[in-house]
Amino acid sequence: MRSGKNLRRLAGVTATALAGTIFFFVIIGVFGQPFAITGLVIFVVAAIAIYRGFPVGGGLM
Amino acid sequence: MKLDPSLLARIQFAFTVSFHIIFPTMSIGLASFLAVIEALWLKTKDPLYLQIYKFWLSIFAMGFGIGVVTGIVLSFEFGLAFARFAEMAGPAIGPMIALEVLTAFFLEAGFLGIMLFGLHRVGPKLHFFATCMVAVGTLISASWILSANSWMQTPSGVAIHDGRLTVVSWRDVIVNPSWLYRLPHMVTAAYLTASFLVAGVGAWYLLKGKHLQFARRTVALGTAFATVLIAGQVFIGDLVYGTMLKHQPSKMQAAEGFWEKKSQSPAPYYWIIVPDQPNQRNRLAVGIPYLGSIWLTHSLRGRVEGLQNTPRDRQPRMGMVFYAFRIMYGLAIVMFAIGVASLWLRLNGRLFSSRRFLWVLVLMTPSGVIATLAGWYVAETGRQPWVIYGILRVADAISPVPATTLLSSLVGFICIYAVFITAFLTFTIRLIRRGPAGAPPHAEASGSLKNAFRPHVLDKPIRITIGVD
Repeated sequence: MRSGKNLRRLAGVTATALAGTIFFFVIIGVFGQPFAITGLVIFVVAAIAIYRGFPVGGGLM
Repeated sequence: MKLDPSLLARIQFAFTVSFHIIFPTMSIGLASFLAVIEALWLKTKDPLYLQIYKFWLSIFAMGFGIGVVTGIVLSFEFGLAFARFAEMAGPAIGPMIALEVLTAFFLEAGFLGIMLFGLHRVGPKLHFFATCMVAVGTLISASWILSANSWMQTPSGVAIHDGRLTVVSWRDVIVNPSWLYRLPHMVTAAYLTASFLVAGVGAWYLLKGKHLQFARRTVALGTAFATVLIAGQVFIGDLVYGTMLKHQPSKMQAAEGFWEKKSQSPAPYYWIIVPDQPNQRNRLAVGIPYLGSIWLTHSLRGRVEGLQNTPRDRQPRMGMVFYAFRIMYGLAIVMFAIGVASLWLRLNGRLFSSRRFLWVLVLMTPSGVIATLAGWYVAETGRQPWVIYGILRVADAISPVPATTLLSSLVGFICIYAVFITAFLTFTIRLIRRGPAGAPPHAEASGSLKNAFRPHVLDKPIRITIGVD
């Protein structure tokens, strides 16, 4: 049971790392500058949406 | 033992400029951070923002003062240790340094007093204006210095007559090919430095269970700024890389650790190398397969150009450039990962409770300073053997000064700067341990450095005195 949970966790971490690496490649322009700019805008907009939707510490951020 | 004046002059400049850049990096970042915090205070009237402002203002003031003093030394060093450089490049570099003083220092000097001591003497809006002017002043200062340094990396707009430079286009001198990329890279680095500094101190308070409101707000702010900024920074960094590859290929060839004119296909991305410069090869190279082709050529099997494409007498030392670049780039990747992790923790409501994450933030407190220093080492050591790329070699730029004179002034600088850094760290650690003003009485809880920072010392108010010439 425990090993199954660990396997799922490992798979999740691996998938997240791969997704993160691909997204990092997008931003540093591996797939070309238009993709990089689009990726950057998506990342920043998503981050701001999370800041607005999930305020912490009682402040604006 | 025979001392080499050229080497001593370089060590002296490397030491003084490395020490100096720590403080402007922090003050550029903190000045804008303070402007944002004061704007939030004016908008929300939340006293917590004022508390954050006052706390970081003290640290900003100390860093700003040391930055100004250590910056002046560099101007003198141009004349004292690099007189031939000053003589040749003076017509281009001199006016830019003078313009920095006229446009940035005067602005900062005019408003710094109001910013530091005027909160209860002028209205809040005028005080906010003063903070913004100081922040703008730091950015103008960075613009001129980056313009001057970028001109040394990618000189343009000048002609050479009888060994002297004549400016033919001021526009081309100031807006030289690398300036527009390197300026946002440096400014973003400064903002990241401030973000991790702020988040790290907040995380420390959370781990210690002190000043919790203050800590939560600063961790939230610091991680939010850092997340957005690091995404922009890796993008800008890639643009800088492309620009330098075009204008200073030898620097990027050294930064990637390849010697061959064309690397193997697919090219690995090296993380560890033991370069053998005389034999133009690596004794040891450890890398990730395919990654070099993907990152550097944007194709799966692309070949990377190595340092043998540059004649030996024009090559920088590979080891220094390579490892400085790896430190900067490695830290950028870690910062990016922390930014993404902070978003995930925020979504799950664990941003302030994940102790592992908070410890990582504490460890990353000086990461911005380290990455900025490493970036400057890439820029400066990668330009070697030139002081003005392709025009003047470092060996031809040194003053005819005896080695003993350079050695004695170097020892003097080390002693004086040791006092500066000790004073700064003592003051900053004391402030951090004391906590923000208006904090509950348990703020001065005991800690491991109790002998150095006794509570009765901490209870005394700390006065800041800044002198700006």
